[in-house]
Amino acid sequence: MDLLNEVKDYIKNYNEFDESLALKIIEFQSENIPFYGDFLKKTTGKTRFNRLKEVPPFPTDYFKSEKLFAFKTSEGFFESSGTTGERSRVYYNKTSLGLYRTSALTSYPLKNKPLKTFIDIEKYGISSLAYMVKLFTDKFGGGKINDIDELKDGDVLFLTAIQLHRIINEIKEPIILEIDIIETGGYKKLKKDYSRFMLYKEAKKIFKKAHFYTEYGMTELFSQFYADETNPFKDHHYAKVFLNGTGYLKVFDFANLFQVSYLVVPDILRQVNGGFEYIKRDVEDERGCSFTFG
Amino acid sequence: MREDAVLLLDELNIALSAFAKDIKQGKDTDIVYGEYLKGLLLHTAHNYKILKNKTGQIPDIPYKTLFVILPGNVPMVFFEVLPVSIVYRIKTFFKFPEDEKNLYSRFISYLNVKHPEIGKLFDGSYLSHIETEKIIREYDFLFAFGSDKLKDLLSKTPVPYRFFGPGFSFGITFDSVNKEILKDVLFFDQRGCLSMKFLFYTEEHIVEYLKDIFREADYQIPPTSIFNKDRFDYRLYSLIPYGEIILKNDKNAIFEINSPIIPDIPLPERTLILKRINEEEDIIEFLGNHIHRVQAIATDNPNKVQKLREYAAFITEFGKLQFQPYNFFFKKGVTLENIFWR
Repeated sequence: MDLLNEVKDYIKNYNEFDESLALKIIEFQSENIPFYGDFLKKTTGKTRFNRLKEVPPFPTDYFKSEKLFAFKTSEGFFESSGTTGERSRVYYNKTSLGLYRTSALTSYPLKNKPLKTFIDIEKYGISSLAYMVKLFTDKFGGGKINDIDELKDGDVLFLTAIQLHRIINEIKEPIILEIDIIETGGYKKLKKDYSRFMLYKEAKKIFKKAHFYTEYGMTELFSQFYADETNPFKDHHYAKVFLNGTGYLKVFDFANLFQVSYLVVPDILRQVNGGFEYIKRDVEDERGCSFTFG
Repeated sequence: MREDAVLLLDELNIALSAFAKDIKQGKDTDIVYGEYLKGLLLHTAHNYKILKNKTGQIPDIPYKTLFVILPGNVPMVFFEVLPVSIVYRIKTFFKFPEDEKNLYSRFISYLNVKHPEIGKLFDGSYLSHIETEKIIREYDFLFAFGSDKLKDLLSKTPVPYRFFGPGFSFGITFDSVNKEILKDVLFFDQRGCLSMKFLFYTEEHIVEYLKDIFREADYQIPPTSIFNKDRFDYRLYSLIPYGEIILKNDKNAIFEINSPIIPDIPLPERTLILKRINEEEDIIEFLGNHIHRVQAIATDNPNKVQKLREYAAFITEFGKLQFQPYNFFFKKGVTLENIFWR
């Protein structure tokens, strides 16, 4: 557990990416998650590394088929929504959730404001999003609401992009409340191609005085990223994004200590000044007349 | 075949040969593919010559106009549809793939200027899905090439159509391969149905030979401009539980599969999947239901390929997989005579 305390301390008290701690975590994970150890051996021939660039990031698709957990037993699992195919499962116990909480609370940008949500936080045992939002409501007050009338000046409204889209299409009268709105979950299910800015622009017509944020997170990562109207997504020293131009999300998440930390996600990101923007999930399978299998 | 169709095929042969000689590297396509495309077009032109002498009775069709949805990154399809339109004298509109419209529209313009009798049969442009959905209703018949996703579009249209779904090709070596296999595997980043996805082998020494020739492959046949390195790495590393990476270069790989059947995950581009076999039946078992997607087979010994003949549209030698025979019309059993009958 020394490593756990070291990681907790690192998340809370440091501000630069620590490569040697990252390599220590990889060694720990390769010893305690047999599938990951095999993956490293098969791709590199070893499980101990001197530089992170020697390590291949681990495809998140493996969370759909493998139990990737450093403890012998788990107390539950978070399951992804499956909007892009099969569902990922990320196993947890009290210890690993402790790290989740440390990371989520560190990156959350609107501490000490009551958080109201349309997300079903009762699903906190199976949905990492619900778990996170419940964590914030437990800590900062607020809770699930059923109607937009329950919002007050100074509140944070946390909801999915689909919920926000539905609200702004249903409500005709502007809402003049000074609130912060955090949307999440992506735009795949919306009828046209959206960027977060397009959604903000439409939502501004209804929520005239709101300030908008987007949360970018996923079941496979215990850390999250935030962007707002003027700032792109920023990574953290404990959830470091490796990106050169445009490409897949490659991230080292220290909060994933008991799963796998160094991951590659088929989300296409673009590097921008001071951070990154999310472009889309890469689902391009067949182009041409080639059958791609799977 | 009617005499006027024969004459037009002759003219098309001349047009294609002249156009092929004018292909400029970097102008019409990615640099390395210029030479390949030139070879392919000359080969196709040659096919037109054979075709005009070999074709049987061309039936009358009740259609005056044809709409063709072309697949991305497989220029051969466009040039193979041309003789069909000429022989049936059917006015044809091509929906070009987004990245390749330049090559096709240049050829149609070229026909219009130099061979207006043929050129007037053809038109085309890039269209969005929504525009395509609208415009196809104005046509009498539809050829659609591409992914299974196209089926959704087709199911909504009242227009009779012929769908040429995605396929793949593979190789079998009983003794030797030659370095021409690189063309079978790497041209167009394995995006065509005539690209080799798998190589089945019986002799161990093949593996070392392949490693040797694939080492320099990225220089000899570099990826196309739309190659996605992250996707390549992601998919290759997702294959790990099913076998072993034999060789991984920056943008190509050889992977040996140990599992008896194809894993149900998307395969990486520019990757030759090896599978050791003892007999032909091993291939049939490995491919499972996918066997009905087989287009063509390259081999060093066609005599030893017997049971798989019924699935493949043609069998050829290594390096020739993407140079289709004159009577290949996209799918086994489809001929010039029956292409408008589903």
